[in-house]
Amino acid sequence: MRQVDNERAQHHQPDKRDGFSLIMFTVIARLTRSLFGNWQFACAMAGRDALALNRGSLLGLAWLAVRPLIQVGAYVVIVSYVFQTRLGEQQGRFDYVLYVLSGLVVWQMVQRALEDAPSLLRDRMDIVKQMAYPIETLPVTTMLAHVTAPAVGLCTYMVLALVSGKLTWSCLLLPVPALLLAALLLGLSWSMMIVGVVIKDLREVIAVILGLLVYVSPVLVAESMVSDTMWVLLMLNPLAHVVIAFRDVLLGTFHPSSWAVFAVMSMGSLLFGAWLLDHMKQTINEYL
Amino acid sequence: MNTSDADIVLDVKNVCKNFKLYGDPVTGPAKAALKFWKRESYYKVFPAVTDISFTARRGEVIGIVGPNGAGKTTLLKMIAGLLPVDSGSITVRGKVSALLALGLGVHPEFSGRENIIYGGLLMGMSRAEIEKKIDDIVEFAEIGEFINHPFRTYSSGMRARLLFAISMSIDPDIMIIDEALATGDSYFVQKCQRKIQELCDSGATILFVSHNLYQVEELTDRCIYIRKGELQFDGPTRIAVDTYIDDIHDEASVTLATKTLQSRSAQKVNGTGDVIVEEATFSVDGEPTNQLQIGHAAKLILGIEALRDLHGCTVGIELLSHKSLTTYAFVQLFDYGADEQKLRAFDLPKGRHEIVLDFNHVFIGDGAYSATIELYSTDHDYKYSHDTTYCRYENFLSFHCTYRNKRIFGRGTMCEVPVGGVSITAIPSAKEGA
Repeated sequence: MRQVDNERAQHHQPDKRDGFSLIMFTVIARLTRSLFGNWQFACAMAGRDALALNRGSLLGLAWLAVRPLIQVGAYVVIVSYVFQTRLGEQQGRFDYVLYVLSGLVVWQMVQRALEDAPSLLRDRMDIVKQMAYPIETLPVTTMLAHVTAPAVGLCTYMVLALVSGKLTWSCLLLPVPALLLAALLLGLSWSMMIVGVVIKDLREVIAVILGLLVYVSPVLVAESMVSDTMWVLLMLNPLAHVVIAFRDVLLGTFHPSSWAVFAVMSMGSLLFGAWLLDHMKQTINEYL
Repeated sequence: MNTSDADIVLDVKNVCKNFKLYGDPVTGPAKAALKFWKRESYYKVFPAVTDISFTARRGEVIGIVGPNGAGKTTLLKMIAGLLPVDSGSITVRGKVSALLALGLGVHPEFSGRENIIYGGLLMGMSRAEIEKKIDDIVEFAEIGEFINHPFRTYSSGMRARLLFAISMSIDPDIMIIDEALATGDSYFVQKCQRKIQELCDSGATILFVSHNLYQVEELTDRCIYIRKGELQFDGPTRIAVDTYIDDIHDEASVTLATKTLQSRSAQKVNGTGDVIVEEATFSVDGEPTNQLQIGHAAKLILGIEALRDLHGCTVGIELLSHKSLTTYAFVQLFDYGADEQKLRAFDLPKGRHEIVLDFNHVFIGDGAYSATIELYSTDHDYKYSHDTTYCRYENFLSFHCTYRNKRIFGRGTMCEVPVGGVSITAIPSAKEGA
């Protein structure tokens, strides 16, 4: 059920005397409560988005699985048979495929979420303006609606890893980076959907940056394939650490510095996004 | 009425709201957001709502009236929590539902049933609640078996019915109903009004905004009148509506009428051109004016110049009301003879003349009019044609007509018919006669 505040008061003066940490705590608590309270609503809306996208087609919802499956299949074939790239002299053909797939799964998730984020509010302008819509659930809704492509990729990875005997026990730790990623994307989406209302160009900027960043990231490139300076350059890409953290879990390696950067980024973006959303939640309606 | 404070479900205190009008609507907000040190230079402040206070008790039905752009919707949005207040406070106890627009979140590819479910979810209902109500909604909307067909295949009437039925299915503590909810065929409009009446009787607190003053008077006992963002009146609906109408007549109708007439005032001159109309003015009590009162005497003075001697000439005036698209009235000079009505004709020698038409009483409906003036020959039965008409000036002058008591407001275009006398004569029934 949709959560509705039973007693609501709108006041002009918010209490700014409280300490920063206390404010942040209440903000996070409020948003968390709202997210959990509106969980089913967000899921239903995600279902609606997915349904709306494919309704009227013959395959219907099956497209959600078919499209990423074909995409991932194409990647596997191209990487392993066409390019025939190998990670090292002693490594097998499948290793690089697994390496690329593990990176691609994360990248797809990030790309989908961030490309949609700036237009989240704008696209639902009529609804948000006229109804008390819990806008904090918007990023959750799109992430759920777009989760199939990375999920299909992940399943493909698991099957391939199992077949080639490369599946590691560390895969069980997958929820840890997944939670960090969720925090990162939630925070970034909250910030970007607010900013995207005022500055419409954000959508294009993000699309261009993400399109370029994929080449300056360890998604396709391994450390053994490039020079040291190049690798340092890749590490300047903040999203590289996200990819590396996920790969650590999937491949059973460990890069502590990347994990640290990832964790700090996630918490920072979550806090900033929550603060911005809380401040602008009503004000943003004036700009729509 | 219980007057304890616990009964107050809505408390609006000194609420103000200013909108920022940006010089450039696209880059303005972005520039203001980026250059926060000189933010003020990019917009002008427009006060939408100024210092409005009122309270609503449980079960009260309050009408809100005011001209377009008075700040009604802004106020409602603030109450619904969709806009922040600039100063003052709004305290709400209970669940607020705002029906500000129909058809939000409706997807054309979804079936009626799916749209009911998602529409209900968007309005804040739980799935279980919706499942319980879905049969009632389908029944109310009267769309029958179409409920499982895609929404895009519906006729516009069916769409309106379904959307209204969805909107009306919620039962909040405080409900905000904005105008123009009831659309569709007249049968359904009546049904909607009954439904709104039911809601009003159900004990929920309702804020009802409408331009339909009859509906407001029928449904509400208390009414708030807002004008230019300021609260003008809060009290019995009858008085609020009267005050509103007074104000409308004082200025709004005059500006509206003038605008309407201007838009129609593309003057067109037709006819043979034997007569030139130089001026035409109304005169009331010897003063030239364009304001007539219904039931009063008025004179229409025409200054004309005949370019040649004309015989058997008469004047016709066509009135076009701002309320209707077709000719409202056609004034002709008739002599009622013993057996037929005949056009009164006069001769116009060459030269300038002044024709005065003396109206003992003006008996046309209230509103704004534009008059088309024509002089034509009585030799032919009147049928407008280029040859028989000396001149025809379209929309030559405009005037307003109002009631002495301005509180009689327009039920469309109305004529005041004088009653000369009333006599009641008993007719002996057949039984008594026998």
